[in-house]
Amino acid sequence: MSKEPILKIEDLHVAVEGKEILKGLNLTINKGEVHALMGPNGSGKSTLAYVLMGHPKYQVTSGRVWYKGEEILALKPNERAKKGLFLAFQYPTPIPGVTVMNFLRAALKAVQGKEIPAKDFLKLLKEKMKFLEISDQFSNRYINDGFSGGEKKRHEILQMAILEPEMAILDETDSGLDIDALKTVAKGVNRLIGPNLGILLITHYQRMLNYIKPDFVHVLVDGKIVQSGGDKLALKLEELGYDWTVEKTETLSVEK
Amino acid sequence: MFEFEKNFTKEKLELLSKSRNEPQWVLEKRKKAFDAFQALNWPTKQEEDWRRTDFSPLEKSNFDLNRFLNSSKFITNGSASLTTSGQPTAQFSAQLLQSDSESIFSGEAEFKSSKIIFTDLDSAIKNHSEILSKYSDLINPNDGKFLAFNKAFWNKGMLLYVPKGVTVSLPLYHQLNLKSSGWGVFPYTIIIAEPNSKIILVDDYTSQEQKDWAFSDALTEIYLQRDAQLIYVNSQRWSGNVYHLLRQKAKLEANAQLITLTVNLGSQKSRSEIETELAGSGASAYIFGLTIGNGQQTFEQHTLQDHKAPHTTSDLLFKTALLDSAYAVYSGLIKVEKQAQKTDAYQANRNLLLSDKAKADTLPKLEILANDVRCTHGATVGPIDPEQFFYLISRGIEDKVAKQLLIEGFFDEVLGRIKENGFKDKIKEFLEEKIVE
Repeated sequence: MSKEPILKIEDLHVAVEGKEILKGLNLTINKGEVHALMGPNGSGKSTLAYVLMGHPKYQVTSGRVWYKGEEILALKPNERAKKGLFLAFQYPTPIPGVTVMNFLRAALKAVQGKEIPAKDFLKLLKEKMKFLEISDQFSNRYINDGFSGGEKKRHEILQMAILEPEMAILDETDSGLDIDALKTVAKGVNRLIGPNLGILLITHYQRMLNYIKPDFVHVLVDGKIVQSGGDKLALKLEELGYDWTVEKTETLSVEK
Repeated sequence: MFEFEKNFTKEKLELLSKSRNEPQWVLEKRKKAFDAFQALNWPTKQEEDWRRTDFSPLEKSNFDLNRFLNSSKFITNGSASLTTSGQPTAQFSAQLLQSDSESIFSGEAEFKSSKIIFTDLDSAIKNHSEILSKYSDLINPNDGKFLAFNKAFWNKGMLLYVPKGVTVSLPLYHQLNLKSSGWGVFPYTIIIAEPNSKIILVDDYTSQEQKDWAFSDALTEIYLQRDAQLIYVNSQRWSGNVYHLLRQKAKLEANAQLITLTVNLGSQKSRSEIETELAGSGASAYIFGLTIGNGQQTFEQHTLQDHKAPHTTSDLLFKTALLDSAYAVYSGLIKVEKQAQKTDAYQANRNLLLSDKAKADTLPKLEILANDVRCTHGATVGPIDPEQFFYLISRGIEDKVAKQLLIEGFFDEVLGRIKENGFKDKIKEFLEEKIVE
């Protein structure tokens, strides 16, 4: 596997409405790697996801982020997406009146930079929906409007499957899913994993990692990564809880 | 006083009527309206109903009737110029296309044998006086200066008469398409639907962009008899050099059902007054509005849901999307008269602002004299939802396209509430044209 970084985050500080959430985060993800980011509620996991995608609510106060060697913090969200960055939302917003079909077609056109013939698009959509066990009528529904938890997450993965990003951030894609839905979603993600895709899998629980095997696990506490390791780290967290890492950092700081 | 008023004298009116070979009763109606026109004052910005949209540029213009009488066929073209040509486009069962200089009718064979009258007003006067003289009084000329003006000087028009029990499934299409410059058009649409009839009509105003300003003062009268059903779409897509006024009144007898959709896309300044009188028990009206404004456009919309009979229903939804420095004002009244018990009335006005400079005012009002009714109203003015916008652009969609999708989504609710599909593609086409502008 080539050690070419697809995403590199250096000393990232981020504030929301004046309150600092990320306090010097460092992380490098190479092409083809799956990284899990775990951490307790409020540690800044979703903030990282949003800031990487360029949500205007989050202010970068210092630090740098490179995607495929290019600094991206000054880029608009649609420019980032067109370069191959993707965020699967934890809470996808309903957009009544706009159908999944029209939305996906507009998105694919934007990302590919050209119009896709309707026939080809329908074929692609049908194939991807089938794989994610999504019924045909789904594409005529309004975006996330009245979707069940499972439908919302499958819709996120459907978008990922159609847009074929090179770096995907999955923000708690496991939350709100029963075990069957989780398996379907994991199957969808696993099919996309490959030498050209970097994944940052944000999750609160170890559960998802039973189905999507990470190469690395990082623990985020209070805006900083306090621990990194292999996939065994997730199991240890499951057993000992996040308090364990918190205690560990405190100990470390005493030792300094 | 408006400068152009001096050009509109009774002598000119008689000349106009004569040049069109109108019968005496038409001239009498015109004269009666002219008297009302003369007696009324031009509305001023001091009046509450008129203070928000400035029509004063009209005053400065030297609007000359002579020009129309002498130089343009447009005001004098009568039934002689109504020609027929083959089949209408596939979406419609019949269409009537009027421009400055001609009227072209086309209809399917099935439609032609249906006894429906769908023709320009000059032809209707010539051939169907007995119907027209009975109707065409729904709007009283004393109710307003501009509508009195139309009733005196109307120069384009259309009659749709649907006999008892006749149903046509495909919609009818009427277009008024003006190509010359510096015109004034006073279109007058009359729709009469007899008991148990059912029909759909799209009334479409459009013009080519010109340097000189132009003026449109339109009137629509709708008579729905017992158990009649009508979908009426009035769409104005005038070019940006037009000032537009519309007064529409519908009267619904017992169990009649009206779906009316006013589409406002064009003109520089536009003012529409949509009045729906629920005169017979069990009548119901669904009153919709779709408006998109950009640049410096202003739109003023007034509605009246007038419940005069018991067990009547009215449901109103006006949606407006504004870009750039566009401005819209909505003022709506639900009036429930004393005898109109068991009325069910609803009114909603939703405004979507897509720019910091766009502005919308909304003034919903209720006037209820009956005691056993259900009336609700609601109004909102707000920007696009930033989370919806972010969701779309996070998928690579350009800001502009994301906004277009959100506008389409915003309007989808209105079209979604009308079950009949036949005319919707046309409306979506109009909207899309404006959205991608």
